[in-house]
Amino acid sequence: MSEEGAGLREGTGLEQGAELVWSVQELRAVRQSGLVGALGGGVSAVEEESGEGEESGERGEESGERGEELEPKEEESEETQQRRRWEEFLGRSLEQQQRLALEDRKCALTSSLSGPALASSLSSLSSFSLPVSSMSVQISTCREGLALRPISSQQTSPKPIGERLQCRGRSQVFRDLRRRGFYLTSGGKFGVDFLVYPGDALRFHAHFMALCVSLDESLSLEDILCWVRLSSNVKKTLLLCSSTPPGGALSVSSSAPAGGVVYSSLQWSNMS
Amino acid sequence: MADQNTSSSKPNFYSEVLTSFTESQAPVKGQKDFIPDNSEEQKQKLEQALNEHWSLVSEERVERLGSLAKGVWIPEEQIVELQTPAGKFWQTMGFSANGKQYLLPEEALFLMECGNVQVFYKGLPFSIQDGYESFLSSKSITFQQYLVYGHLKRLGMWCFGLIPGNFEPSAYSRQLNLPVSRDRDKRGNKRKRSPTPPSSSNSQDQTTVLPMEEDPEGQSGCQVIRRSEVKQGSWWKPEENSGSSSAQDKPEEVYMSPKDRQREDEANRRWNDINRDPEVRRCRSWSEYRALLARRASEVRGHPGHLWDREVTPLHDPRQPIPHEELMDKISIIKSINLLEGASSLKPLDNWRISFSVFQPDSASSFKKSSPGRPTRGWWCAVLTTLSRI
Repeated sequence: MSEEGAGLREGTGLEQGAELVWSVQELRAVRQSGLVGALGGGVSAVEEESGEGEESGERGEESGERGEELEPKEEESEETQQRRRWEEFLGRSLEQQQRLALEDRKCALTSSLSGPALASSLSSLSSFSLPVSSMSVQISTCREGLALRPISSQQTSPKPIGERLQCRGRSQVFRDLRRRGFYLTSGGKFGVDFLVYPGDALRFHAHFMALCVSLDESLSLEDILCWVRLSSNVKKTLLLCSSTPPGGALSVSSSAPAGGVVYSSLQWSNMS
Repeated sequence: MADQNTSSSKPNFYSEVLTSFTESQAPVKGQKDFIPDNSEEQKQKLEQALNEHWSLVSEERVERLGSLAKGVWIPEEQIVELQTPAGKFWQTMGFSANGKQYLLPEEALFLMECGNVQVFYKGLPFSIQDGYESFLSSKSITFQQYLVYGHLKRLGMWCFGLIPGNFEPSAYSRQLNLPVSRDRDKRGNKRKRSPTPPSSSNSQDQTTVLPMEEDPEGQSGCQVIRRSEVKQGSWWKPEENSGSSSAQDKPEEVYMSPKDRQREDEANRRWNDINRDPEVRRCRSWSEYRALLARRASEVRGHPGHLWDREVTPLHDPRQPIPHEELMDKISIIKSINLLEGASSLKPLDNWRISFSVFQPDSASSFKKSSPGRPTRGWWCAVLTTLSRI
């Protein structure tokens, strides 16, 4: 099983070239298999947080009342059923919150007042009701039991997306680096293909900036200088990666494995 | 698991490649480590970091129902209609139409993420995942464009898509204080209308003769022309609603009684003694004098021969009345372009297309959502329309 698609359901969320992961369980599974990805979108209720990258995994934990499995039925009754369930859920939630609010108030009164004042306040609480506008509601991140069928369905292609977009053996390089145990993230910050980490990206700095080029592609000196100088400024090594066609004859070097990947690392040194 | 494989099978890999960094530079201090060394400490730190990460990521978005504006997604029109009054975000986001409040899909998605709006579709609330899948498409706004939009919004900027009908005067026309001709409804320019010269003359008209008209060389023809130019109204503001179209066409005649005319003629004669004229004195023969007369006559006519009788003629005849804006267009070599207007009609240059105009938040300025005008520092945000290396 390829690691790129390891364990993910088909159609998790394909947004124009980026696979989106929504639930925390899936995110943990993906992380276990060594794929880091990047958080996108915003964190709840914090407007100033900025997000970046392709994958987002956020999910709110609920009390389990909404985690109901849908059985496939006719579309019309499914919608009305869902609506009914949603309204029932709202009603239950309101009752629960009201109960909790009442208890909360009783506790507060008991701790602050005593004697006849307490008695009178407690008796006035009996008419307490939580207004609907004060009810807390969750905007769930992940689509769960109330799932409606997506409006436009995406067709999944057998070929990995990276391969479709960039025909430079990118997915092969990715696989090879993963096989060697590196963690890879997007190299968009530096204008390269990948950033290569020796361990999890949370704990380690990236060692390499991987740039996928084809073996017969000629690079101008100015481009190489740009990349190498940049990499030296950020204390990383530039890694030129070229995938070799499987089973084909190689003109570059006999030591390069067929069907493998050739790596060239570049560093910048001052001669002063 | 991955770390163990790396360190056991390839011990030389790091040392060969990375020694230059580790030896020549100070070791990297701070939160992150440089090389995994399988120590317990590192594992613990990694676990701690990961746990923090999961707790942050699994946070819920819980809001008071009263503070959530309720919106309904209309996929046919790709907009969200608000059914409860909008909150504070209405100052810089959304638009009104037909008496209702609407949000664009990217605005709705952003507000959902911030917890200000709850969008419903077919009676059921959207989750963020639904929002991403429904609101972001090639028809409305792409995923990458939304990421940029969200990032800018979170930085506090006010972002708008290109609004084609938003005309702003160029810097030069603003310098000249030209009114914006196309924006009639909103701006409501109160243009000064010059008083229509009365068709019936009275002596008061004569007193409005300006000093410049009384030049020694002046012949009656010159005077009349200049007067008419002044009477066209304020020089800087084009007369669009001028009632006196006739005044623009032909020079205005000033009525003078015969006695006044005689008096003026005598005064002019005294001033206009031909022999006092230095140019006449310079003429050494009758032919030169005739040439001088012809030149003057053509100048009086406003049609100097040296300008109009050759191959290259002036761009505009000053006798032809023309609004100032058109005149500027006519004489300008480099056409001024309204970037906002022109950008939407520009062909995409190598897959670059302007997607948003970005404004810095500025509560002091008279910012109007419906006509935001030019971005304060000329910020436009171009987003690659083709997918790049991500």
